[in-house]
Amino acid sequence: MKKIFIITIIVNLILIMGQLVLSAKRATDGDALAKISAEIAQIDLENQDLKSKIYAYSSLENIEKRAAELSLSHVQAQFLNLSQPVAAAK
Amino acid sequence: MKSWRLTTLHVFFVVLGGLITLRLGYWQIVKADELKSRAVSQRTASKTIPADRGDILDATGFPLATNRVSYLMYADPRLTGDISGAQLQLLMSALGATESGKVLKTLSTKDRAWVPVWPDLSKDAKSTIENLKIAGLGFESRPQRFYPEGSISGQLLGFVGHNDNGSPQGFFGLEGYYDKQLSGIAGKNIEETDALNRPILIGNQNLVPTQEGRTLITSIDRTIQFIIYQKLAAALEKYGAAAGTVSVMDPVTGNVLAMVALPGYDPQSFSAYEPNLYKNPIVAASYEPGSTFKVLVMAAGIDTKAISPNTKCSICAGPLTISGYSIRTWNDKYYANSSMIDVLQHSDNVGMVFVQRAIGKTKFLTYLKNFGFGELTGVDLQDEAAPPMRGIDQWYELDLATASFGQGIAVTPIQMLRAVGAIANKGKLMVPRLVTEISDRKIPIIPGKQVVSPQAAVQVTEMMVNSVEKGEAKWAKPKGFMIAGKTGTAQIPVAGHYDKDKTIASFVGFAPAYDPKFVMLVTLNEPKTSQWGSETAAPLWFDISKELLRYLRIQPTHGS
Repeated sequence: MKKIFIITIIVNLILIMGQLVLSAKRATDGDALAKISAEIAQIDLENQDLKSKIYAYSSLENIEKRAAELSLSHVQAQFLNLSQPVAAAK
Repeated sequence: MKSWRLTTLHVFFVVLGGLITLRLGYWQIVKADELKSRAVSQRTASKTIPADRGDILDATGFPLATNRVSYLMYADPRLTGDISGAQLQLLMSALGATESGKVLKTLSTKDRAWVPVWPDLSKDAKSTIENLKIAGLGFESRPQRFYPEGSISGQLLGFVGHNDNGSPQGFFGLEGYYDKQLSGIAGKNIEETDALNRPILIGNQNLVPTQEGRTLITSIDRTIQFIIYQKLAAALEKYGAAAGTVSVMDPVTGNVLAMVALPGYDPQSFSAYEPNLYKNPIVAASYEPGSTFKVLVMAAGIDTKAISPNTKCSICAGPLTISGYSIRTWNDKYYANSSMIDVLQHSDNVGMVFVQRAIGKTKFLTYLKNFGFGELTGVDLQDEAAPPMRGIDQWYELDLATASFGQGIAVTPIQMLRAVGAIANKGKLMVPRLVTEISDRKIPIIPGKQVVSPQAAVQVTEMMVNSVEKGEAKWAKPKGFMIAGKTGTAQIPVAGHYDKDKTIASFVGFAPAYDPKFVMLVTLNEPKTSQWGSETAAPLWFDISKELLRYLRIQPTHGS
């Protein structure tokens, strides 16, 4: 009887300790989650910033400006109108 | 004596116990809900998760409107202290500001703990300022609408401002028309948090997911948009015009490929522009179309079989007098017994009165209505307006006569583009539209309405081709292509009469004539170098069409 009583106390103590460990772990998980969430938000901001930079650099206005800086000039469209080949001479 | 003291003490404790019980009852029963909610609010944090506004993409998937992060720089002036001269110079340079007075004035309001200093800072500018290590400065990120192509599509896109509640809202153009779809619905995250506002995972969590704004895919081709923007801007300068528009549409589907109106505005900084520039004149402003309208009247005449291309005009030998007013041709030259082909080629006003008379009043007005005049085209832009058509009993002989050559009748450029698009599309009138997909859901094309027979449309196309080949502006036409078109020079009504010096020069046409890939309308308001459409709008139309034909990889079909 005494043995069962001691075992019960030990099991209870182990369970309480386990509960404490798990609770502590869950509590620090919250901290980790908050950090990860902040990191995700920061990376999202950076992503959006980089995306908007890509769009700004690839805008036609910017490309035209860059081309002008490189001394590239606009060329008018030209079409070559070739006569139809002669199938047979008179 | 002893008994009296004991009784008093007894009563005192009973009363005290009763009061405590009542107080406890008050807190636990009467105030229970309030205290419970206060306890919940102390340990829970409710965070609104804003929905990202949807992008507006062009036909190739490039964003015409998207979101980016900007930063609001704020300050606690009590902490900023005096900023040294060198620091101030670097701060101004990072802000891109030339005048430091406003910033210094803001920072000197020492009685406040929070003052906004500068809105809309980029991430790079924020980093630069952070490196200056000025005490009391802070930054708050906020989403901002971003238009990568800047002002080339201002009136087409509209802009995002704030409504009366301070919430972002789209105004004008696509931003206004599709505001609900673009806005999305903000979500909410309610969770238990600790004293440092970190989530307690074993606590309650309630997440209402965000519904992001929908992405719009448009039929706008940014390359075409850019081409017409550049060409129109150059033409306004070249011809000294006060304003102008260019709109390009696929006549078969009704998809708008590009539209530009100048002067325009940059939607990024819309508040720096006059509000009268916000409306898109292509859909919101009316004008008298002048001779470009003749192709529609001619189509009605041929469709009703009142005339044919070879019908001879019996009244074209000289000016015509109606109700005391003289109807003349634009150059005062008259061609007796000219055919309808010649009437269109010479842009003969008297000949057009002949056509209108042959059609008859009722049928003439029915055709105008069928071509979509007097009603909205249904284009998906917020600011569309349609000038009303008068009732049948309010049309007198002179009104009908002038309407036959496009004077005394008001239309919007989009109505005109759509109507001529019907000629290009074998008589079928389409509904112009810009958005083809909303978040991967394709929007079906609204079936067109047959307004004239395919035969009549082809005959008018032939007449328009002839007008281009033999008209005043033939020198500007791209060689090797069949182009159907018509010039227009409309006088501008001012205070009840027409101003003889001010005109709206226009050109409408489509190419290639018998398998059209685009229909385009060009209008120039009050050109100074010449008032005629053939010398201003037509060369601009042909100049743009050369670029479009090359860009759309359309091959020439003949030698000249």
